[in-house]
Amino acid sequence: MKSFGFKQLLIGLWPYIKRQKNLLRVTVAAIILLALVGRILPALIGLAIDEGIIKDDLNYIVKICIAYGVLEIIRTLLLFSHRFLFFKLGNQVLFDLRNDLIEHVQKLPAKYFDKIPSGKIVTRVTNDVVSLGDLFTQGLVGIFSNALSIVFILVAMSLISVKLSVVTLITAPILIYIGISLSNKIRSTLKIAKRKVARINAFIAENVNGMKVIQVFNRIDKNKQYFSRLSETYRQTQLKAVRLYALLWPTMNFFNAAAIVTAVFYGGYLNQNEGLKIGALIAFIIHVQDFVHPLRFILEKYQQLQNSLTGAERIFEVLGEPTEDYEGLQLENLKGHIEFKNVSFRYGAHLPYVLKNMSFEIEPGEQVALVGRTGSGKSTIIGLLQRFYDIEEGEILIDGVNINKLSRTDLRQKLGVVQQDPFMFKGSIKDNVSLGDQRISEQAITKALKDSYSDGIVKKHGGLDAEVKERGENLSQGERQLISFARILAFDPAILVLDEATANIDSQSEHYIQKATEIISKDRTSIFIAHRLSTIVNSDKIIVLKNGELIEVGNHSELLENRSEYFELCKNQFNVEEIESRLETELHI
Amino acid sequence: MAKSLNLHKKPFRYFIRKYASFFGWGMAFVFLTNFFDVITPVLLKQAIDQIREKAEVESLATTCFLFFVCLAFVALFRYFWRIYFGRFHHSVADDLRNQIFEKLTELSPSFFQKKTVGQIMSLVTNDVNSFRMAIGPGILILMDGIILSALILPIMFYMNWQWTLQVLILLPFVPFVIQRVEKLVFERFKIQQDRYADMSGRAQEIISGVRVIKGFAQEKNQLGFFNQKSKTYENACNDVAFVDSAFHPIMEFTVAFGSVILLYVASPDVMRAEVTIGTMVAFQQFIQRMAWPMTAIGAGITFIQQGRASFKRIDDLLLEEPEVVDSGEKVIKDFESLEFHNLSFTYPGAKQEALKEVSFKINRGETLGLVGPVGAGKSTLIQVLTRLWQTPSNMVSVNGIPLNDISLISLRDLIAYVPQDAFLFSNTVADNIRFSLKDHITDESIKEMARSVRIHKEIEKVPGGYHAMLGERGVNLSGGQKQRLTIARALIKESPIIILDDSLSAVDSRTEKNIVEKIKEVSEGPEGYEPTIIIVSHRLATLKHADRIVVINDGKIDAIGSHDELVKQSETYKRLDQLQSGELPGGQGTQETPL
Repeated sequence: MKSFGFKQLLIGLWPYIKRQKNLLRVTVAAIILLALVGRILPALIGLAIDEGIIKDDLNYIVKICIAYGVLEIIRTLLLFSHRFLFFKLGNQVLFDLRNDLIEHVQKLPAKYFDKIPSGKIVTRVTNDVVSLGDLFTQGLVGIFSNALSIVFILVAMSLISVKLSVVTLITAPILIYIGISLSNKIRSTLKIAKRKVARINAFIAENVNGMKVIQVFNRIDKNKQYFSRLSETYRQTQLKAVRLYALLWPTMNFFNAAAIVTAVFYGGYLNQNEGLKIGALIAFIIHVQDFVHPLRFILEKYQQLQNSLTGAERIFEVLGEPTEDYEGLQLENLKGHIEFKNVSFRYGAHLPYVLKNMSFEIEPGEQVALVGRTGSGKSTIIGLLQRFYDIEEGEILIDGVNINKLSRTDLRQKLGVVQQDPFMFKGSIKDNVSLGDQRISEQAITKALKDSYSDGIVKKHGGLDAEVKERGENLSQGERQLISFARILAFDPAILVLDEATANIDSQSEHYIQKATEIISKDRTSIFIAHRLSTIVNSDKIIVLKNGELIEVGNHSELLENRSEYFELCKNQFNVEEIESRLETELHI
Repeated sequence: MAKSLNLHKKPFRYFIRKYASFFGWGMAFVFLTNFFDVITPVLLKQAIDQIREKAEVESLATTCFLFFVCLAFVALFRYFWRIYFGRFHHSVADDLRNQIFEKLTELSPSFFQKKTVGQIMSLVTNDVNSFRMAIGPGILILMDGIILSALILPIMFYMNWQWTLQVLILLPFVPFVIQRVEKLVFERFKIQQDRYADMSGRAQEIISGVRVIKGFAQEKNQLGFFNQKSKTYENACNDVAFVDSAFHPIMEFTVAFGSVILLYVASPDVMRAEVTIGTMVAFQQFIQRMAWPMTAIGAGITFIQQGRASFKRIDDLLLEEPEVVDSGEKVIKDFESLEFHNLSFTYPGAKQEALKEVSFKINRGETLGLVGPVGAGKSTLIQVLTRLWQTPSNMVSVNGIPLNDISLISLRDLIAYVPQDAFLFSNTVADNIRFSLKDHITDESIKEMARSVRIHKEIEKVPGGYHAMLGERGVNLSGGQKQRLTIARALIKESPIIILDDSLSAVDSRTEKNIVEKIKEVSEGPEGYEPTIIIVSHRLATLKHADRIVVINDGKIDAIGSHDELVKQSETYKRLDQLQSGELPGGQGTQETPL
């Protein structure tokens, strides 16, 4: 793979920069002017000495002083504006970039999110964009403006005396060579240091998460030792970087010394023998002194920023990830007929099949329960129905149309899914029902909450605008489930998929959930990933899965009579006669 | 103790004293560097005057040589100052990191519930780094600026005090400007940080909830919400950029304007030949050098302020009182019994008691079940027993000895603990099983244990086998595999007490049954080893093997007895029993699709 450098960065950013053409022009102009003014000032000092002091012309000096003062003010303004404008330009570019990132990320296929932890993706959108900003403002701009300064300095020096310039800067190539090789070493050292910080962080994270285990297993001393080794090697790496930096600076100082001394000595010679004016010589010396600073900046920054390039690279990697295809048919008046025809599916080419040659049919309005152990393929079926994953073998038909031909947006709008532990957004209860969709009015939200037996929750937490914390941690799991039921009612999808919650539901919520389940599944094709007897008993059809295969289909009593997998599943947990008797009573009520 | 007091009150002094020689040498070299740096303009003046006076080449050469030597010294000493200061502040950082880590190992679960992993990581890296920048570069540039101006100002006054006064006329305003601008930067930066956090939060929500967003086709809306946050953040960035961009130009202007004044006031003097051009050039050089101390002092103070704020955060952690005090000295050799006598326990800061007058006794070799609804106090009981919390005096005893009189190490040696979440470390498979570091554990016994918990074959299949790394960059195991490894990790200790803290909730009931049978089997291993087993579970099926079951509800013991007895005696138990018969097996997992 080609390495990602400043060139690639510029290519990647150019479309964004281009949008801010005017800002860019003004900023570049400010940088050029600044470099120019920076060179005129020393020249003025030289002129004041040669034309004013030596020729005893006080008027001339006054004129120079006024010019100098004015230029100094202009320089200050330029110094300010070039920085500010570039920040502004950068911030606008970053805004656009973040917009594109979020837009893009939302379109990435579910596979991407399976592969990459959400924390990392967030880092791309936030942290990495910030470091790209530094790269842009300090790196690209800093290097550009400092390089420009060097060019202007060289021109100004040559204008005074080409000979003197050549002699003075004769050692510059050596300096640049040493500088580059040192800063290359610094760069690799910083890279190692970064890796070591990451290890420290990982170790801390793990120890914090597993502290209970560490304490109970008497592992504290061992882990302390390990940590202190990690910390020490990090210190060593840092010290290596310090040594290299410590060398880089004095090298620059030393060059500076050599250049200035050469300028003074040879300049003195030229003054006596070839009529180089004293003022010009002094201006020359100031130019030489100014030469080192931008050079150092470039050497230091260039290599430092190379390391931040990885962050920028990752951003463009994300933007380069292929997105889901949102084109396709829209189904008007979806009836809710679902058919799986010989569907086989696996999550990756090298992974085992999670669904094997599966076929079944769900009629419009039917209530269907999916039953099976962990790993039997229940959740996969839902993922496929939402087109989070595309099948390659077999067909899924919705109202007779192949699912791959349908628009994902349209399909997902018509298929409401309640997850086992529903995701709650940080915000208000209201927002969690409507998801911020403006088409859903406040009345609709209130009604949805009421119909899903959630008005108690609303009251308990203090109204529609009550705060929902991150991941809904201030709500119980049962409450989260009920609010997500309201979400379904608000969006009114034609097909409902419900992954029933099992664990940690308090009995109060349990009661409401049962009642609300009936309401939300009414008049809709409903698929339950069922864990509850009541759901199973009442469903029109039970689909029993095992290891990705469909074992049997039928209603509760049919399946019990089969004495097959379903019977085993039930027997394992509770006694069959009890269920049968319960079934009888329930059916007769 | 006096030493550590010093750390909390005066962290800077504490570390400077602790690493005095690095710091001392660093300061010495800062002084020397500045000393020679200040001489150079004087030599430049001499050289220019010599050129003007058309002096002999030899004398100009001598001046140039001295000039060069001075500059070379500056370079050399600057090298050493960086080396010594580097050693100083990086050692301080290392020291602090270790202190923080040590403190972390002393703290109880409550602390880790209060603080997120991210916050703690940020403490160890960002805050330590910010304190390092304060005590290192911060103090360094502050001192550098002070020393430099302390050397330059007298020389300037000595050379020409009238000029000096006029040239530096703007200087007294500098501290005011710095203060004003700094305050502005600080305020605006804080706003920027807040808005950044806001925006990150939004991004986090969108990405964690991406399935819901996709599922309800809400992408556009969410992008709109994000962009609102992103825009306000951008505005805050621009506000910071504005003051930040203004800072340096203003600083430079106050000094650079001195050059104009110099030109104006010095020229007549030079014309009257009262002073030489060389002196004027030297002045010009001094003025330029004065720009640095002005910025340096400001920058140094900022570093130090930020470092102080960071140290405050670090110090809050260092001052955190460990809940558990390891004051016991007794060592238990042979475990006989464990007894709770009217144990009541309240979490620090909580109002309600988590455990109320719990009393029961377990003898060696017994298997005890612990059951109750979520939040009943089961895990609390286990955590009190393992002394993750400070146990109330005399309420728990082992072999009749109060828990607090037993050394922590000895107590925890008695216990093989399998936690609720199958937490493994990013080490090799073998290292994870060897986690307790007992001497009797050999490579062979690790394999044997793996066979016993039925994971050996699966490990062999993984590339690298027992040496395969686990964790993010290594092998990903299934929940069940992880669970079996944590069981192996505990059982291989051969401790007299085995605790399964609801560790089987992630597996379906059949797997659970297998595991419990396995444990019983394994525990019948070496001769004379008859472990006491405590199984915490909310699934009754698991507890069928128990000799006795303790039912806990609301922190109180509801009943103790066998399954059949409890169905009759305990309402809580009966309800649990009924509730669970209404549940189908295998319901918990949604592991086939992540997210």
